[in-house]
Amino acid sequence: MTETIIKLDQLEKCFDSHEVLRSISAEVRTGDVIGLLGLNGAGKTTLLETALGFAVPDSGSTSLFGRPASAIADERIKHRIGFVPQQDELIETMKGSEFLGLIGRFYSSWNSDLIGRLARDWDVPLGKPAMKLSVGQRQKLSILAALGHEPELIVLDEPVASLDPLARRIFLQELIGMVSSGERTIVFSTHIVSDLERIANRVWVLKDGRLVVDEALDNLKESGVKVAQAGGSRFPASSGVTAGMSLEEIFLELHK
Amino acid sequence: MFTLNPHSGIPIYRQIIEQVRWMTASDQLRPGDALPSVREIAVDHAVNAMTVSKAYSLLEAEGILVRQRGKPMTVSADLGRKESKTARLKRLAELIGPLVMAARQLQLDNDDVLAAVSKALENEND
Repeated sequence: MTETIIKLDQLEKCFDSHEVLRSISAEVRTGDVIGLLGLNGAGKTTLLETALGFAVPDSGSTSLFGRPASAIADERIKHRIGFVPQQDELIETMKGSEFLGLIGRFYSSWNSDLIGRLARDWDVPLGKPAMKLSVGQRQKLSILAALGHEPELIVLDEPVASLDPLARRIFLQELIGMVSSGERTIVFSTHIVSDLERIANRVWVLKDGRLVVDEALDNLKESGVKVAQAGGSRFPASSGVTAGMSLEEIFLELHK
Repeated sequence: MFTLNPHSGIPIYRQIIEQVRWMTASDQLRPGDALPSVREIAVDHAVNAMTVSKAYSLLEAEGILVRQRGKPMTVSADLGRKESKTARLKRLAELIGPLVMAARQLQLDNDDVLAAVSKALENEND
C-alpha cells in the first residue's frame, strides 16, 4: 500500500540572513528511493534535518507518516525511522559491539542477527573502539546503528562519502535488497551521482535553496527536453538538459 | 545475465527490455527459459528493483515474457507468432519520433524527409 511517508510543504529556512531553503514542497511515498543531489553547501543536510523534525523551519511544515515532524519524539514515529548523519555520532572509547548494544536498547525491534551479518559482510571490526577505526569503518558502523531496528524509512546524509568503490557497491546492494519488496523507503543525499543512478527511482536537485528537479529518474533520462518545455516543469527553460543525458551531465548542465 | 549501464542516457528498464529482446531473437533465450527474479537481478547488478520490475512488466505486456503464479518469469512459447500490423506500426512510431525531431533541427522540409525515407526503403528492398 502506498502512503505518503514524508510531506514537505513550502519549507523556508534562513541561516544568518542566508536563505538555505526557499519554499520547498515535495512528497516521498512508500517504496521511493530518493536521491538528493546538490553542491556542497547547497543545504542538503538542512533539508534532511528539517524534513525529519531535527531542525525547525522558519515557515512551512513537514509531516512524517502523516504526523507533524515535531512529533519526532513520539516513539511510534521514531522507531519507524533510521537516520545516518553526515558526521558520525560514535562514542570514541566504546567498542562497536558495545555501541550497537547501547543503541539497540532503545528499540524493541532491534535485530542483532541482522547487524551481526552486516558487520561480517561489510568487514566492520566490532571489537575495536571507534577511535581505532578507519573513516570507512566508522561510516559503516554508523550505518549499522541506523539499520538495526529495521526502520521503514531510512534517511542517509552522504552515507558513502568515505567508502571505497567496493564497499560502496556492497552497501548499495544491501540497500537495494532492503527496498526490493517495495515496503521500505529511502532518502539519501550524495554527491556521488553514479551511485544514485543505480539505486534511486526519483531525483531531487537542490540549487539556490530550491528543488529545481523533483522527477523520476527514468523521466529525466527519457524526456529531458520535454521536461524543459512543459509548462509545469521545474527545469528553467534555458537549461541545456536534453533526453539521453547521464545524471552527472544533467547535474553539470543545471549548474552552468 | 545483462550488461547494464546506469550512467547511459538510456533508463535501465529500457536496457533490460532491449537485451531480453535481442536474446530471444538470437535464441540465447528460448521459449520456456526462466529468467532470474527481480530481486536477484537488482542486487547482482546493484540497481533499483522497481526498474527491473518495470522491464519485466513491459516485456510481459509485449508477450515476450509470461508470468506464472509461484514460478519465475519465463520466455513465452508464442514468440514465433507475428504481431498485428498495428502493433508493428507502433514499434516503428518509436523510431519515427526521433527522425522527425532531427529533421526539424536540420531544418529539412517534409518532402525532403519523405524522399529520403522512400530512397532508404527502395535500397532496402533491393
